[in-house]
Amino acid sequence: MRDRSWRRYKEEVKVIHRLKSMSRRWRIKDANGVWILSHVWVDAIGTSQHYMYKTYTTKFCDSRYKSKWGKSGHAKYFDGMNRVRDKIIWKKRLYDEYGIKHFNISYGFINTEDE
Amino acid sequence: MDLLIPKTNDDWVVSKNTIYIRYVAKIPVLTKRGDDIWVFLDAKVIKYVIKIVSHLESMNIKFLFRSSQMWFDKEEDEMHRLNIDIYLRSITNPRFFDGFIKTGFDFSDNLSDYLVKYNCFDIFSEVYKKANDKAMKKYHDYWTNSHIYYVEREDIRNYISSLERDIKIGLLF
Repeated sequence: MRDRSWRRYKEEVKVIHRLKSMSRRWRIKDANGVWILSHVWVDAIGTSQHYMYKTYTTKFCDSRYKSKWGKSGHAKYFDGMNRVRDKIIWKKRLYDEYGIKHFNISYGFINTEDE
Repeated sequence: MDLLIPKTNDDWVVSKNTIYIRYVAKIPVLTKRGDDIWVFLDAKVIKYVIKIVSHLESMNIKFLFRSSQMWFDKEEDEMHRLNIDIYLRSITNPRFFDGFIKTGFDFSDNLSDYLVKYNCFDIFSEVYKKANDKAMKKYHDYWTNSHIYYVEREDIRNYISSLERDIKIGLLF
């Protein structure tokens, strides 16, 4: 069930993941205002960064290297594994596997069976 | 140890003479070393520290504060320096200041208890001088033509500046 507690848990997982990225810094200022040299991620709790990391939005740097479909997602050299470059093969595969004939690239899937 | 936990819906954990609160991680709030009860003055979990302090006050249990940086005991001088530093640091935090006033907790009385027990007034005066200078630190803002203080609230600044005098009077009696 994706209820409130589940969402809170997932937010916490994301926040911890982001706080652990702060371990690359050679020192951090904790919530008490003390500089700590040999720190762990728990020391960063209660700082301004911790509250900032609670925002669940993704930034450009998070989503840039994801493999995306659509007009706006340009083909990149690291995207070649997943992306089907040939549009005819891609449409054929869509029809075979999902039964989708028309695929509006800009707005997402349009199921023709309902029509 | 279970008696020391306040009756709230929060996720308190007891393990090896220590009470933890589960807030993102398991953070220690209170420990018992021998007969002494230590409360960690930690700004990470201000809400829970104030809850446990008010609970201990209601049960008339004596306790002292301790720095969260120090889990194991260190050399005496360093230990007292860290503890007194965290006493003075945390009272500049408006959330601690308001919380202690709301619960009716006498902060300066607790600090003077610490100084009497470990006989470390010299260390206190050293640390206090630095903390007081930091609290009174200000710079001139050209655009608004006004002075901006490091500690913004005036009542906290007044409290810190009169803290040494209060403790000296407390030690006399």
